[in-house]
This record gives sequence, C-alpha cells and structure tokens, in this order.
Amino acid sequence: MASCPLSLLSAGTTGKITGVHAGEGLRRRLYALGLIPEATVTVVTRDRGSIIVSVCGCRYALSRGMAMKVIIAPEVAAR
Amino acid sequence: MKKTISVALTGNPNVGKTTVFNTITGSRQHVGNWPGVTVEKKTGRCEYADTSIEVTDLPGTYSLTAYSADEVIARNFIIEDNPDVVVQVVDASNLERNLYLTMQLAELGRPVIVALNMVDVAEGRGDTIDEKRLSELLAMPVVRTVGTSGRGLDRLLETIIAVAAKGEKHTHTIGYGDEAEALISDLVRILDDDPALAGGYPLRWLAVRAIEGDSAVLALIEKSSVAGAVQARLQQIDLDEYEALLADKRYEAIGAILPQACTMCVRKMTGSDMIDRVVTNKYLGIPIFLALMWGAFQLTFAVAEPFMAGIEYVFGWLGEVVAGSIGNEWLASLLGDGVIGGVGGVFVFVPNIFILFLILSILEGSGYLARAAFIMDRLMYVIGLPGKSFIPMLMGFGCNVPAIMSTRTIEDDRDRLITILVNPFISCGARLPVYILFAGVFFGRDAGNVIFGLYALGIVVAILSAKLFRCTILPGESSPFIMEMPPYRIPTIKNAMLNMWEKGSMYLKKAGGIILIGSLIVWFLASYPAGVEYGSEESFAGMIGHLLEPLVSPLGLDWKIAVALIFGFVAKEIVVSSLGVLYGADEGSAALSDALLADPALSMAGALAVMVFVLLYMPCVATLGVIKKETGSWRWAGFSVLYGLVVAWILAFATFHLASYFLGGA
Amino acid sequence: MSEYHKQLFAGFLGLLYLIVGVAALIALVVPDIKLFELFGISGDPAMGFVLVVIGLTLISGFFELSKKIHEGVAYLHVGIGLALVFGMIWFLSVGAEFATLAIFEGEEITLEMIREAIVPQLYLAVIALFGFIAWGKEFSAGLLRD
Ligand SMILES: Nc1nc2c(ncn2[C@@H]2O[C@H](COP(=O)(O)OP(=O)(O)OP(=O)(O)O)[C@@H](O)[C@H]2O)c(=O)[nH]1
Ligand SMILES: [Mg+2]
Repeated sequence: MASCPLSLLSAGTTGKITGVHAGEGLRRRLYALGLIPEATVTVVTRDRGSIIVSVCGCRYALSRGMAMKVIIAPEVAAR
Repeated sequence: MKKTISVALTGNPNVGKTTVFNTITGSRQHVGNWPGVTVEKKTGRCEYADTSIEVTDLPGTYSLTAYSADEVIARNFIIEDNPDVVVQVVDASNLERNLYLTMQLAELGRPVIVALNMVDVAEGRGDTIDEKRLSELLAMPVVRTVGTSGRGLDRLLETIIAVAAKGEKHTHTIGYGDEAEALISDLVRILDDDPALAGGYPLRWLAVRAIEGDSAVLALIEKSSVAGAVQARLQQIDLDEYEALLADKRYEAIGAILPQACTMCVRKMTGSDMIDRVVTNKYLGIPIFLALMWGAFQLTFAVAEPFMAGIEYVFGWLGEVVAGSIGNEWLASLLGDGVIGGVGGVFVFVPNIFILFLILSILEGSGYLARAAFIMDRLMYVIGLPGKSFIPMLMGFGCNVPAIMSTRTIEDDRDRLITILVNPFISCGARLPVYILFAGVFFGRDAGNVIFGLYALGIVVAILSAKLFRCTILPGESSPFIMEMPPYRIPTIKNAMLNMWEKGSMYLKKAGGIILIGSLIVWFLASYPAGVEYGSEESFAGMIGHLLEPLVSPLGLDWKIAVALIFGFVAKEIVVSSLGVLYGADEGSAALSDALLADPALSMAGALAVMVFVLLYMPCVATLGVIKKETGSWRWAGFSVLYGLVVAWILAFATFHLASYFLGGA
Repeated sequence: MSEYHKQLFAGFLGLLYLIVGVAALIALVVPDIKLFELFGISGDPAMGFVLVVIGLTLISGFFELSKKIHEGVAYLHVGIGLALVFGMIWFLSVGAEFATLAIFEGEEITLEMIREAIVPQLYLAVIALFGFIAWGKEFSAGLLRD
C-alpha cells in the first residue's frame, strides 16, 4: 500500500515508517524516541487533532503538525 | 581521608531516576508519573562502605542532543562537569528506546553503569532479562533495581564504588559501517590537531556529534583552530543521510543485543490502553476531565470541614485564654490581634491546602496529567500554544513556582515565555483562603459555585491572555509537539501522603514564618503612632490605606482591604491574615467572618471584587522571583506585575458594577 | 458469555445513570417533582452533569460491545471506576458534614438527614460496586502499581 502521513491513518492501524520529513533538529529527536524508518507504529487514538501512537512499547502524543511529518506505509489489514 | 565519588543519574524521562535518588540519598525530591517532573539538577550525599558518594539527579533526556532547557541541564552536567561515574537509569519494561541513550553515553568515554530499573514491571509482565549477558554485550555493568522498594540499590552502590575504584573509561563503542567509520576517523584526525579539543573531549564522540549536526558541538569546533578543516570535510557529504545512518546503526546494534539478553512477552491491549481509549475519546474526553475537576474541587472543600472546625475551635479557645489571662494590654493585643488574629486566620485553611495537594499528587502519580494535556491540545492549539503547556497550568493549582519551573520542558522559547506569563492567573493554593473566607461569609450556600467560578475565571483569563500575547508581542504558531504518555499507575497511599506532606508543610512553614512576620508588621502599623485607637483611621495602617483608597474605591473596597492587598503581594494568604489583624479578630477566623459581615463598607459585590482582584492582581514575591529567573530578565517580571494589575483592576471594576446591578447594590 | 453479561450490565447501569442525571437537570427548572424526591434527586447542575457523563461512558461500552468490538469493555471498566470515585466523593463529603455537625455544633444526626444524604450518586455506586467485584480484578491486573 502507498505511503501517507501518519496523521491520516485511522485508529488501530499499524504500519512501518518510511520516512521522517522534518528539519534536522526535529528528526533527531524523533529518532531518539524510536520513530525511525522501519519502525512499526500503531495508532492508538486519533479522535482529535493530535493522535496517540504506540512505538516499541511506548505511547506518544503527537500534535497534528508533528504527525504530518512522519510518513508511514500502512500494513494491509488482515480482514 | 574518605574518598568522594561523584555520580550522575541520567536516563530517559519518567524511568525512576528521582525515585532511585530519593532512596539512595534519603531526599524527598518530587516524583511523579509523567515525563519532565525533574527540571533541575539536585545533589545529595550518601555514605556507603566507607565511601562518600555525591549523587546528582538530572532531568530526563531522550538523547544527548538537548532540545529544551531541562535537557540542556542534563546534558551539560554529564559532558562538562565530569562526574566520576555515570549511572543510566533504564526502564526495563521498555529497553529498546532506553538503550539508544546508552549507545550515546558509551561514546563519551566515561565509566557508565546501567541500572535496570522497574524490573518489577517487566517481571510482572513475564519478560525475562539476563543482566549478565546484557552486561557483556554492552560492555558495562548492569544492575537490576526497583526504585520504589529499594531492591538492588545496595548492589548499585557497590558497583559504583567498584567502577570508580577501577577508574576505567568505557571504550567499547558500536561501529557505524565502513563509510561512516572512514568519515569519523578523518574527522578524528583533523580534530586531533587542536590540543584544546583533544585534551578535553573524546574525539570520536566529537566527530560523531559533528556529523549529527549537534549545534553545541559545532559551536565548540567553530571556536577551535581546526574549524576550517572540519567544515571542509563535512561539506563533502550529505549530512542528512549520515545522520539517519547513525541513528539506524544504533538501533541496529540494540536490535542485535536485545534478543540475546531478554525475551519479551507479546503485548496485549493493556489496562493503560483501555483507559486511554475512554478518557481521550472525542466526545467523552473533555466531559470526563471536567467531571473529575469538579470532583476534586468538591473533595477539597467538603472533607476539610471538620478539620477546619477543629482548628477554629482551638484558636478560639487560645484567643479567650489570651484575652482572659494576660494583664498587660499591649502584650494581649500583640498576641491576640497580631498573632492569633493573623496566623490563626490563615491556619484554618491548612486542611484545604493539604487535601488539594493530596489530590494533585494522586493526579500526577496516576499518569492522568499527561492525558489532560492531550485532551486540551485542540483548545491550546486554537490559542497558539502546544498541548504540553497545559501541564504547567494544572500544576499551578498547587503553586505557581514549581509550575513555572516545569515550563522548562517546552522546547520553543516563545511558547515557553507565554506559558510562564499566563501562569500567575491560575489560582494557586495560597489564594484559596481568601476565597473561602469571603465566599463563605457573603455567599453561604453558593460559596462552592462562586469559588468554582473564580477558578474558571483564572483559566479563562490565562487563555485569553495567551491568545492576546500571541497576537501582539509574541507572535508565532504553536510549534508541533510530541510527548510521551506514561503508563497509568495506581498511586500508593504512602507516596501520595509523602508528597502531600512535603508541599503542605511548606504552607505550614509559611504560616509560621513570613505570614507571622507580615501579621506583626500589620499589627504594628495598626497600633501606632502611640495613643491612637487600634486599627483606626489615624493609625499608620489607616494612613497608608487612605493614600490608596482612591484606587480601590471604584472597586467598592475600603482602606482596610487596600492595606491587606498591599501586604498580600508578599504571599497571598497575608490578605487574610492582615484582615484578621486589622479587624482585631482575636478569636480566630469565625470572629473575622463576623467582623467582615458587620462592616458596612463591604457588600456582596465588594466581596466578589476582592476575590477577583486577589485572583488576578499580581504574582507573589516568590513567583515573581521565579519568573525573573526563568525568563532571564526583570523586564518580563515587571511586565507580569503591570499586566496583572491592569487586568485585575479592570475585571474587579467590571465585577463590582455588574454584581451591584444584579445583586441589588451594597 | 461473560462478555454478554458485561454488555447488559453496562447498558443497564448506564441507562440508570443517564436517567437520573437528566432528572437532576430537569429538577433545576421544574421544582418539586414528588417522584424525583422519592429517589433523592434534587436540581444540581454539577451533579447532573457528572451523572450524565458516567451514564454516557457506560452506554458507549454497551454499544461497542453490542457491535462485538471487544475493546468496548474499556468503557465499562472506566465507567464503573468513575461511578465508584464519585460515590466515594459523596460519601466522604457527607461523612465530613455529619462529623462537623456532631462534634463541633452539637447537633444530632437524625434519620431524616441520613435519608436526605442517600442520593443517586451514592446508591448507584453500590450497583457499580457489584460490577467492580465481578470484573475489577481482571482490569486492575493490567495496571501498574508503584
Ligand atoms: N513499579 C515501579 N515504579 C517505579 C519504579 N521506579 C519509579 N517508579 C515510578 O515511576 C514514576 C516516575 O518516577 P520518577 O522518579 O519521577 O522518574 P524520573 O526519571 O525522575 O522522571 P523525570 O524527572 O520526569 O525525568 C513514578 O510514578 C514512580 O513511582 C520501580 O522500580 N518500579
Ligand atoms: Mg525526576
């Protein structure tokens, strides 16, 4: 499936990060948090502007602006 | 002579550094279940096996690159203060991300020890960690610890002493692949030409950081004699690519280590996820938050009642004893009017303050605080602040000083400045006595609603001010943010109680110290010059009050309130104690209530105006000091005083006149 | 099977909370409704709001579970938790009030006063308590302790 920004995924979707399109400062921070290319991300909640994702066992809240910068390839749902 | 070893406690946020620190050193630093509790370095000592160990607790940081003020502190301490041993506290239930920092620390060339904290959580989940194997793979000592129960901390101390005695620097670092390694060794060769750099820092680390574009390291190189050569070499490559490569290699190394040392259980949907699903729900999130706030508020007032009645009873009795048994009129007035009237008036509210702090500490310990910030993100976005800014606001309900300090975790300077400037409008615990007194006296059954309204007004003014600042003096967009959501924990009664006592006892000390002094000064001003009637308009207090009366009379207030407000600048409770002194309420707070009610100069509308004014008028001395410290200039501190006064005056004026109209005047 | 029980419980308790909460809001505008007084419901905006929120939380659980979304139990658990928290808050508040009256104001606590203190927030929490006894363990087992 094609890649899209993290902010467009619906709750419960899992996918792999394919790129982080942010300035270098921000990107380094995301890397330190475990949001690196190839990492598996699950969207926990996305009811409001910001979303909560789960990456390698940690939960993070990302504001929408932040979530736009993380590009992800959603896994095709099992059913 | 005994040896002293200096140890730095570092690690990701919310992994239990402060908990470990407190247990080792017997300190009582603030612990909470959200990232960014500690924002300042704190030092403590402990003696173990004939060695004196100086431990420094640092703010949490995800990597050695600093983004916010608290992370700068953590990083600078490790890099510049040269601690003998660096202990990285690691969340054992979350190894992968935690080890990223370990990889960076390893490059520093310092002795590093890994404290596998929260192993109880990992074990409870069924994970197994072979710390011996992990220690071999990382080439550093690994100790299993549980900060909360103290398990393994002796082992940790023994390891610290052993490592310090050996004094071996950590040399094992990960390889970044041929291409990157070639670049690194080129840079190391260039950097080696500058003796100043070569002497002070591990060169491999400098080279790696330079490739990653660490601005602090680049600035350091900029000043050195090899700046040109380094620049030239870095220009030949695509830095972006290398940066991603380095991060990748670190995770690759972690990925190679972990399966050899631990087995992780498959994660099901946890209790935390369940709660999050509900409390961050699109429609239910905010209502649940409001309901909880109301519940907290209800508890603060209702449960304190019998305790307050008890304290009132004791002070009433004391007042009678003083009045009845002390012959010397002067002394009787000093003790009765000054001490009992003043301090007693503030003392009654101790139960409220304690319960307030208890609730705040449960809120912090449970992990809901971070969710509240998430829920409020939409609203904060509208006013141009990141959701993170909501945490200092909630903390402000306790005391504005730590709340303003906690803004250090906000990365963007302008976001941070705005968050600091609006914080004094959040009603802190010290203002509560004023509300309870006035609302209780003038509004009886509706007191609760009136006080809830004041809290809400504080938040509304804070939010509107933030919007105003955003549109005028500090323009900009709210910066994108990312915040860790800690797992929910059931707060222990012991922890919550300790936390409550720690903060509540500050209030007690304040009542015995600065408020006592303030009360005595007001008593003196009310009794002299010699011969005047106590608390009359001819006394010094009366003179000061009359000087200010033109300013407060449009708000429906008289000179006594003006004097109390002046002293309230030192600490807001003093408004209550000053009134107690001025009204000569020597039988405790019940007497003050009666006196206020009997004063013809005060009306319901006037009482509302007093409360609104006290809520908003200016930060207290301590808050002012911290604003100065955190913004780095008196300019902003002065600004917040002026702005507060203007807003308070206008709103109190409006309140008085609207209320007079609706409530039928004085 | 047990999921079905949970669904029923969530629906039943949620409906009760919702009805009582709305009633408390109605009582604000229409005073003196005999039926309401019988159930200890008086007009109170804050209380009404809280009861409605708890009701809606539980009912969301009912709907999710009836759609066979297993995660719906989250609403049930949190709903029960909220019910207990607010029941406890009321209990403590009334206890404190009675203590003040009895100890410092020398008043006697009459049966009438106790009857007045039994409000929906309290007696519905007792029902929620049964839910907690039945399923509380499986939920809190997933939570961390300090
Ligand atoms: N179960 C368990 N909980 C722990 C342990 N150590 C700490 N905690 C809890 O983890 C939370 C965070 O603890 P802190 O000591 O404040 O963490 P910190 O690393 O100082 O956090 P920051 O100052 O925000 O970086 C608190 O709720 C502690 O009670 C442990 O070993 N086991
Ligand atoms: Mg800490």
